[in-house]
Amino acid sequence: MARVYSTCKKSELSNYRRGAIIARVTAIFSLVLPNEVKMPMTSIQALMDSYQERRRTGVIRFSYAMDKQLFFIFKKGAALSSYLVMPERWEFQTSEQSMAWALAAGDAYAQSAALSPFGVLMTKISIEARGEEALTVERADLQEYLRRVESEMQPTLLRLNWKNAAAAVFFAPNASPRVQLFAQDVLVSGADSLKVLLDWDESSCVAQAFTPDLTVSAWQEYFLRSAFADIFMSLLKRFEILTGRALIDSMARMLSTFSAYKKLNITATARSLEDDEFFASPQECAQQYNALLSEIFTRFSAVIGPRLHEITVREIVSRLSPLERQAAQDFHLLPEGYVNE
Amino acid sequence: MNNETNSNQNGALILSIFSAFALTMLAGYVYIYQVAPFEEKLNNAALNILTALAALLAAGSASAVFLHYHPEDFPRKIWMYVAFACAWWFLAETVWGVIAFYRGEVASPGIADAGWVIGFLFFTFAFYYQYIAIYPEKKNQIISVALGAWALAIFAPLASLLATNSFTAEAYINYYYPIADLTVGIAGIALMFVFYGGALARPWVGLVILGISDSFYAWAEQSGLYAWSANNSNLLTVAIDSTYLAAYLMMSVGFLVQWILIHYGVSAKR
Repeated sequence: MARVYSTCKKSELSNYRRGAIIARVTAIFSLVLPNEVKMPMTSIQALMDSYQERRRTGVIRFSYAMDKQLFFIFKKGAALSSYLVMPERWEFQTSEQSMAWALAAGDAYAQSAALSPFGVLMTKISIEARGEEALTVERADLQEYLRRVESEMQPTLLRLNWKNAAAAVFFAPNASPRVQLFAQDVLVSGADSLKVLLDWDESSCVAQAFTPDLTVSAWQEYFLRSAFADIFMSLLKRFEILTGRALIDSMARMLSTFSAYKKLNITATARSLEDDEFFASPQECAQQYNALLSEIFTRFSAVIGPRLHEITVREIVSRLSPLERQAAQDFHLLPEGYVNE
Repeated sequence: MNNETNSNQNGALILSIFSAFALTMLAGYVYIYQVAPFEEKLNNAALNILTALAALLAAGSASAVFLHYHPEDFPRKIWMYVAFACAWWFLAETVWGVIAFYRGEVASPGIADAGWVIGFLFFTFAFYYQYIAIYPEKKNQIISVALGAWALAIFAPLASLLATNSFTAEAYINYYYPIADLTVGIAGIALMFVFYGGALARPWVGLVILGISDSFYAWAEQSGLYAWSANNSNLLTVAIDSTYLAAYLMMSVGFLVQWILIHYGVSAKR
């Protein structure tokens, strides 16, 4: 039974946020919504096939008796990874293993959602990470609760479960919250989704927060992604002062071209970086970002000189958040010859 | 990738044509100096026209870089002052050439010197903004160094000449130039060191050589070794004047490389 948010004192709430022990492992789409019907085995296979044919990115969840769930993560139609989630633990499986398990397990409640790459990363975090103690939040308190989580100035994933809907909200410092609300087979995301979430017409929800933990692969991937974005945008900013806008545009174009060549969905302009990627593992993530940084560094260095470039990179890395720096160091995000310590 | 290749080829073509033109100018300059094919006055005029033309090329290519930048780009300030400085030096070279044509020798200090001094002033602003771009947190130190360099260039020759009771306006200006040139040279070398191995180092190479060459000119002129006419030139004069012209040309090539860089974008090979 989840504690009720409005009865928690502020200090007590902080303690919960720090040292909470979770009763069970839950994920964003773990909730079986009332309108779900059991899907026969043949339809399970058809659902998987349709994701492949339509080259979809997203997640398919099968729910079984004894609170067992199977999550398939799809990237452009390919089953990238899968998780067998049970109360208290989860297992990372190959897609083949999971498919065999699903076919053997028989009928299941199925839920699928085509997600943005960041939405998939949010799902991965909610599966892999141990969340903090779940709280029951009354509808009237929801806005204040979200504001409170946001004010903590650290990346936090919040999972909200109503009886008829599920939502995930990701808060990151200096960025707008990213929201995915899944209700009655409809996925709501984008600019208005926070408003839809706040107006959701159910009296209360169960909220669970997931705070950064660098022992969790999905969090490692998040911080590698975030470190890459910070390094690239800081370099552009520094470079613009030295060389002007035209070269910045050229650098941004170069990143987009090179990432397309590497078949990555990462595009840049002089002012923004659109990273629509997620990876099978943090190792693969670091490897791909490392290759991009290597190309970028070569070109930057050719313009401003290796000496100034190295000083600039060192300065930028020193300004990363401790968790970004830790992830960058652990997975050798920076190309060889640059500070990874 | 094709666009990048085309851009690289266009940039390389422009640079090749410009470099070939610059080399032809330098070869023509040395030829006139060595062979003196025309009558004396015409030889001298041709040499001075080539020098003024080289300064014009530097001013033109610096202006092209300046105009290429977006009004909000920080480097635009740097290049505005570089272009102003080069334009003033072009004016100074032209005035000097005209006076030399009519009078044979040019009195020092003269009206042309005003152009060079103003040029140095604008280069100081250019260096200031360039260093601010590199070390934004060291603004006060950069201002102190710039003011110190100007104080040195103005007061060191003055103090030295007054102390030896040998102050004349001509002696003063002849001592001022080597110190100003040396200061510009050091500032340029420091930038080359900061940008070492990078494309941004290239525009400053010509300026460093110009500073060195101009220092030698001031020394040769002061010591009476400088030959005022191509028809009775010596090896030292040819070397000093050719290096001076080459420095202007290198400056203009360096500025053109900068223009190609910002116009065609970044290439790993460049």
